[in-house]
Amino acid sequence: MSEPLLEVSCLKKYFPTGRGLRKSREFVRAVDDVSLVIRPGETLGLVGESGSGKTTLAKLILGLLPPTEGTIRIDGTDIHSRAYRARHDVDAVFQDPASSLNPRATVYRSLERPLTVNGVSKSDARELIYETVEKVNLRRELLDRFPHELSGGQQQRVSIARAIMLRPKLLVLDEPTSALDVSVQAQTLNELLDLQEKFGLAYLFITHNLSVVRYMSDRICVMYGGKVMETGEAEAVYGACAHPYTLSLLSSVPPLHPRERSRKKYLLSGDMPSLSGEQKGCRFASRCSFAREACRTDEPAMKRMGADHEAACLYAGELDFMKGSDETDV
Amino acid sequence: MKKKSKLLAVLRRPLAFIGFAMLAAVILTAVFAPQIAPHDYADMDLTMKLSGPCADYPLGTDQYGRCVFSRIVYGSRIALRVGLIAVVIETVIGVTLGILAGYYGKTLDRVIMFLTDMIWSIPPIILAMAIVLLLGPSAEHVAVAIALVTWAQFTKIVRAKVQSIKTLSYIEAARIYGESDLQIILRYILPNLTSTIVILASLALPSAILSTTSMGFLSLGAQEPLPDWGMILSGGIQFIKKAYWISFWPGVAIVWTVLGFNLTAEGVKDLLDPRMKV
Repeated sequence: MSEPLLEVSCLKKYFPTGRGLRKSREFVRAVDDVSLVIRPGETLGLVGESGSGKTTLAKLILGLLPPTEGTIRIDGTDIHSRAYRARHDVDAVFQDPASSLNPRATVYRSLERPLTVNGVSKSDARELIYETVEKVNLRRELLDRFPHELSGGQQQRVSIARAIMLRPKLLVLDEPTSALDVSVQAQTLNELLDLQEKFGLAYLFITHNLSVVRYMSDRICVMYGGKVMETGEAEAVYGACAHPYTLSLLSSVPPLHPRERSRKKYLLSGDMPSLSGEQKGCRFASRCSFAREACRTDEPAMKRMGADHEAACLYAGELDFMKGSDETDV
Repeated sequence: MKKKSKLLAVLRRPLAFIGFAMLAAVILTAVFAPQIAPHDYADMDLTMKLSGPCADYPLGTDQYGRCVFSRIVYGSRIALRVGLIAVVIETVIGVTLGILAGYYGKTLDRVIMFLTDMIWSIPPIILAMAIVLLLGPSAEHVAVAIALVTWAQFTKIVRAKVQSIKTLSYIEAARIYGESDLQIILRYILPNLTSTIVILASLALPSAILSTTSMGFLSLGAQEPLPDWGMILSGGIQFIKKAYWISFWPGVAIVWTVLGFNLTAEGVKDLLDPRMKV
C-alpha cells in the first residue's frame, strides 16, 4: 500500500448556533470526528444525503474553513502549517458551472489568473493554457468568449481546466455533473477519468448519484450526520454493504428491471435529525429500521468488516438485510 | 453588437427617449452657457428692474435688473456640478462601506449597519442643513452634505449584493488558487457590481439635484451673485405678484432637469438588467 496523499484524522467542524449576545454553547456538528485517507491517483467517492456534511468536509480539505479540531495532511504536511503555505496540491470543481466562472472575465482571463497569482509569467501562462485547454477538449476559439456564451458542459470543462492549471495532486469534485444534461454528464465523467490517468490525479468525488459514484470510484465513503458510516472498496460496499444506512441508500435507487420491483426496500422517511446539541448513540438510530435499544445510547465505533472495509454500526455483519429487523419494520 | 441594439431598443421607447433628450438639453446648456446666455449672470441693469419678458431679456429681469434667462442658463452648471460631486462622494462612501460590510461580515458588518441605520433615522434635509451650517454655506459644502446624508442607501443595497456574490463558486475557486481578499474585491466583486452601482447612481443624481436646489432655496448653497436655481426661486418670491417670472422659470428648470434624469435613469435600469428583454 502506498503512502497516503491526503490524510484526514479526527476532523471536527462545529458551527456555533445563535448570534450576538445570545451566542450559546450549542453547536451544529457539521463534521464530527471524520478520518479518511486518499492515496495518489485513486478516487474516493463521498456519498450522503443533503446536510450530511459532505460539502463542509470538502471546504475543510480545500482550506476554505478552519477546522475546529483534527488535522488534514497532504503528503504528510499539515495544510494549515507554515510549510504548506506556498504549495498548491488541492483544487476543486464545483457543482454549478454557471457560477463557477467570473461572468465579467473571458475564459482566457479566468484560466490565466490562477497562474499569474502564483507567479507564472504571462508568456508561460499562455503556453500552459493552450496545453491544458487541449487536454480538456476545449476549442481555442472559446478562450475569448465570456462564460454566458458557453454551454453548461463547456463551462464545466473550463472549470476543470482552471482546477488543473496549477497541476494539483488532488481534485475535489463537488457534484461536478449533477447540473449537466445526462448526455453531457457521461462525457464529462469519461473526460475526468482520462485526466486522472494523464496527470495521475487523485479525486475526492462528492455526489449523491449512486450509479455515478460506483462508476468513478475506487473506494467509497458514506457519510451521515457529519460522521462516516461506512467506508471501503467500491465493489465491497456495493456488493456487501454492512451499514443499514448504506443499504437504504442503495435501495433508494430504482431497480433497472421491472421484476426487481418487488425486492424489499429500506426507504428512509423524514429528514435528518438536527445536528445541534449533545448527540447520544448512533446518529442514524432515529431512522434506522434495524435500530435496537443500545443504538440510542451507545456510540458505534468503526468495525472492521474486511480488508479496507469498515462500518460504524453496533450490529454490522450481524443484521440480515434480506429479512429486515424483527423489532421494527418499515 | 448585442448591447448596441439593446441601447437602441431602450431609446426607441418614448419615455426613455424624451428623458434622454431633456437631459441632453440640460447638459448642452451647461456646456455652452456663455454662448447661449445673452448677458452675464451678474450683470445688473438698474434701469430695467423687474421688467417683464422682452426681446433683450427673454424671461424678464429680477429686482437688480439681472437677466433671469441668463441666470438660469448659468445656474445649470451649478446644479449639475453639485449633483455630480454629491453623487460621486456618496457612491464612493456607500459602495466602499457596503463592500466591507458584505464581504467581511461579523463585527465590521454590525458597526457599518449601525451607522447606516443611524443616518436613516434622521431626516436627510435637516441633517444636511446642520452639516452646511457647520461647514459654512457654499455649493461644494452642499454637495458634501448631501453625500453624507444619502450614502446609506448605497451601502444597504451593495452589501446585500456582495453577500450573494461572495458565496458563488468562482469566489471560492479564486480563494483556493490564492487570491487575496483585496484582489477578490477588486477583480471579482467590484466588476460584478458595476450595473448595480450605475443604476443606483443614476437614481441618486436627480434627488441630489433636488436637494441642492432645496438648500439653495434656504440660502445655504452657492451665494449671491452666483445663480443657484433654488436661490433665484426663493429670491423672487417676495415679488411674485409683480414679477412671477423670477420664481416661475427656475422652477421649470428644476422640474425639467429632475424629470429628464429620472426618465433616463429608468431607461438605464432596463438597459443594464440582463433579465429584462427589450
